[in-house]
Amino acid sequence: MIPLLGLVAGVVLGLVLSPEVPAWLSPYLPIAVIAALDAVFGALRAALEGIFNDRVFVISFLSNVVVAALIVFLGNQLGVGAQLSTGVVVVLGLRIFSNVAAIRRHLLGA
Amino acid sequence: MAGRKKRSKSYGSRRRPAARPRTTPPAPPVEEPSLAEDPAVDEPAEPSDPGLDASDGQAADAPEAEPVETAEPSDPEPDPSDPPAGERLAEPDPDRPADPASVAKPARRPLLPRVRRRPVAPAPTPDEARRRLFRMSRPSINRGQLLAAGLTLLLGLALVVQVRSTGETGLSQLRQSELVALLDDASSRVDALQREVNALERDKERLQGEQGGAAALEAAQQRLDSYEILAGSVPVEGPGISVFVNDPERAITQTMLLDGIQELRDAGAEAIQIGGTRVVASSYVGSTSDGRVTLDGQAIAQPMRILAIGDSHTLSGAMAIPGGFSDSLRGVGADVEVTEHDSVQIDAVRELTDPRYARPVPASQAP
Repeated sequence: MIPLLGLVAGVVLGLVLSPEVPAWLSPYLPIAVIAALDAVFGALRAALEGIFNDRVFVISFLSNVVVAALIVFLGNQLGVGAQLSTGVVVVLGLRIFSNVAAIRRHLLGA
Repeated sequence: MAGRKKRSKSYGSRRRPAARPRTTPPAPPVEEPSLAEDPAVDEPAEPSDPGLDASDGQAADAPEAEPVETAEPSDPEPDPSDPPAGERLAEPDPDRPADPASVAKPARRPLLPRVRRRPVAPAPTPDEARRRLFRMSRPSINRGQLLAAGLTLLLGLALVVQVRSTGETGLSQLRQSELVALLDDASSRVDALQREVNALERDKERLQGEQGGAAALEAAQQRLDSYEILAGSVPVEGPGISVFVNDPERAITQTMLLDGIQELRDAGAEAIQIGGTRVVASSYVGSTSDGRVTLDGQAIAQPMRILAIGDSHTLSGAMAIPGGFSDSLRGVGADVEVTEHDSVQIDAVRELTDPRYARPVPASQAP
C-alpha cells in the first residue's frame, strides 16, 4: 500500500515539478526505469506468492538500476551503446512479461 | 543474504528431526495444498494480523515458505519459468522413495542441492493470492515499507520525467549525426532561398530601372514562350527521343499508352507528340468501339511514332524501365525502338480554346 502511494506520489511530483533530466543522466534514465519496473513487478509477484521481503526488494531494485546503468555506460564506452541498450530492454521486457503472466496466473488462476 | 542463510538453516534444522513423518504432507499433489496450507498459513495469520502486517515480508512468509523448498524464498524475481503445477507434482517423487530406503543419508543429501536450487515459490491459489493482495492493500508503516515506498516514488518520478523528456523530443535528444544532417539540411535550404532572393531582387531592379519597359517585355516574352510550349500551341525543337512502335495486332491498351505518357512526363519531357497529336495538359486517352486506342478522340495510326523533348538520356532510360512502357508492349508482341536524338522537331500544334468555365482568381484572394 505504502509503496503504491509512493509510486503515485512520484508521478504527481513529476507532473507538478516537471524537473529537467540532467544531461549526464539522460542516457541511463530510460533503462534504469525499465530495470526498476522489472524489480517492482518481481516484487508484486513475490508478494502474491507470500515470499516478499522488503530487504531483497530494495537491494534488487537498486542493483537492477545500477547494473542497467552500468551496462549502458559500458556500451557507450565501447561504442555499442544502442545495441546493448536494446538487449537490456529486451531481457527486462521478457522478465516483466513473465512476471506479469505469473501475477495473472496467481490472481485469476488462468 | 543473512536472512536467506538463516532461513534455509532454520528450515533445515526444523525439518530434519521430523523428516520422515512430515515429508509427505508438505508436497502433496496439486489439489491438496489448498487444504493443507490454508489452515496452516492463513488462519494463524489472520488473528494476529497487525503483527504479521507490520513485517509483512518475514513473519508472514515463514510458515508459507516452509512446505516447499525455498532456498532463496524472498527473491522478488522468482524464476518465471517454473511451471507451478508440474514442479510440485514432480518434486515428491525423488523424496518419497528415498524415505523408506534409508534414514540418515537421503535426508541430508537433498539438503545441499536444495540450498543451491533456484527458488520454487509455492504457486498460490487465486484465493490465497487475492487474500494476500487484500492484506497488502491495508496500510502498514514500517521501515521496509517506507524504503520500498521511497524507491517506488523515485520510480514514478523517473517514469514521468522520462516520458516528458521523450515527449518533448527536443534537439537535445538527437544524436550527433542527426544534428549534423539537420544542420546541413537547414544551411542548404538557406542557401537556396538566398539565391532565390538574389534572383528576384535582380529582376525587381531590372524592372524598376531605366530600361524597365524593355526588361518587362523580355520577361513577359519569356513567360509567353514557356506557356506556349506548355499549351502546345507552337512547334518546338530540342534534344529528345523518338520511340517507334510497330504494333500490327493493335495490342496496345489505353493503360499502356497512359503509362508511357506518364513515364515520359515523369522523366521531364517538356513536349510530347504521339502520331500527329500534341500531348498537352488536357489530352486524354480513350478507345473506339472496336478496341482501338485513341488520343484526344483520334485513333492512333500504326505504326506509331512518339516524340518527346527533354533530357534524351533520362527519357530513353524511362522508356526502358523494367516492366514499363517498352517491356509491356514487347510483352504483347509489339516492336519498340527508342532512339536518342540531339534535336527533335515537334511540329504538331494545338489550337487554343478560350476556357468557358474556369476564371482566374484575383491575386489578392488567392491562398
